[in-house]
Amino acid sequence: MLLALVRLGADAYGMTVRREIENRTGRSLSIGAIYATLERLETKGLIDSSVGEPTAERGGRAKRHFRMTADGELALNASQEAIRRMTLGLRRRWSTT
Amino acid sequence: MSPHRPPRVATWLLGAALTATDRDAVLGDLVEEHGMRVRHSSAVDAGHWYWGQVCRTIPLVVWRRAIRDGWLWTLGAAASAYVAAGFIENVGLALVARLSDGQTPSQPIAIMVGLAALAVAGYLASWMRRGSANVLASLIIIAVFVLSLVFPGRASFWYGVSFLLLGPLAAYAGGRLAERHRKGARMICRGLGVLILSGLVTSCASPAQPPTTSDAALLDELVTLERSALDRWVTMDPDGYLGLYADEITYFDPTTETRINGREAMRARLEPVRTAKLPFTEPRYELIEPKVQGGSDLAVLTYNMVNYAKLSGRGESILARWNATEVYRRVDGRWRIVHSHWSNVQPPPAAPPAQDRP
Repeated sequence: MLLALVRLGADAYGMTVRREIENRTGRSLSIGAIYATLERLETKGLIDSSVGEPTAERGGRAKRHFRMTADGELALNASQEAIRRMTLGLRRRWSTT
Repeated sequence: MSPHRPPRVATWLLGAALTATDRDAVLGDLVEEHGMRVRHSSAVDAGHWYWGQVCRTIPLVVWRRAIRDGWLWTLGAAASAYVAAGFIENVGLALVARLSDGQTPSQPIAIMVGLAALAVAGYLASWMRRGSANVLASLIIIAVFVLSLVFPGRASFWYGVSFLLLGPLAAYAGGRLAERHRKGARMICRGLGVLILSGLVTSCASPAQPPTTSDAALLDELVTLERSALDRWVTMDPDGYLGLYADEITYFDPTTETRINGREAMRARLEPVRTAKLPFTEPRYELIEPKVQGGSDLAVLTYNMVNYAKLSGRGESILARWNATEVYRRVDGRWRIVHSHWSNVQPPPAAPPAQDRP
């Protein structure tokens, strides 16, 4: 989810985050699952959100934009580092190519 | 469904489940993507996708709200208060019965005690969790409604209506008091004390009372036992009564010169009944105006009974008329007859001789 926010930058809101993850992972997600996760991340202070202007294509409803906070960047770095360390030297064990 | 607009029902359903904070963002995202799918695919596919998203999102949203807003805790507090109300009501009724020499409380007193218990429960619910008294009020409506369906006739119509209408109000009032007067709990307790005390005083002072719900339930229970024995008795099977007699049963009827003491003596007396040949067929009986008096462990059941049967060469005739007194005592949680007294209504019918009695 945090990686999707990094990729989308200023254009990160519910619909784009859902499509980004769906396109890159092939997993079909509901908008409810996206918002549930975003809300958890916001509660933890890893992201924050702001409400945009209402638009006609959304039936007059406003977007809710999300962006990563400094704590979110730290958490993402820590997570990536943890994955790197855990996978260090293991590639050969499951890769057959 | 307009090809350019998402399904309205789906939008309304999801909108109802979402909080005001999330509604614009979530619905706006779905509407925007629906529009894109209409342009790139078809309105039907977009509509299916939209419904799929809504159906998958609603359970998540409802669950999140239940957790975030503490719905489960509120429901738990209300259910606990409901259980407490039952306990408080039983204690109150027992106190009233004790203060009035074992008399079962009259229906108005029972209703008043019940409503006071619900008001206390509403107070407790609100004290445990704000807003729980409203949920308790809903639980009371559901419980009264379900009980009246499952046990029809168990309680009088007015008893049920009183609790259906006033029960939720009592719980709500208790909850409101708790919320408005959190610091003035003493005042509320004083008010409830006065309410319960007035119930006790009224109960002790009240003269002859009409049958109460508890009396009616006891009467039903004893008449059911009595009928089960009588149904077997009229077919010359004494085991129904023998099973109901307590070990120390005492017995009188017009043919006994002295009192019969104990179940074994009754067994010996009734044994010949099993093989008796009677000059009638299709026996039946009518149990008239049963009445019960007594308390929780000892009860006197009185009634009149008429025996009918078809005599050879004649139609159905009255064989005997009886005054019956059965004294029941609760032994190991089950009602048993400790004394039985049968007398004929005079004058007896002409012929044939009256059917014998246990």
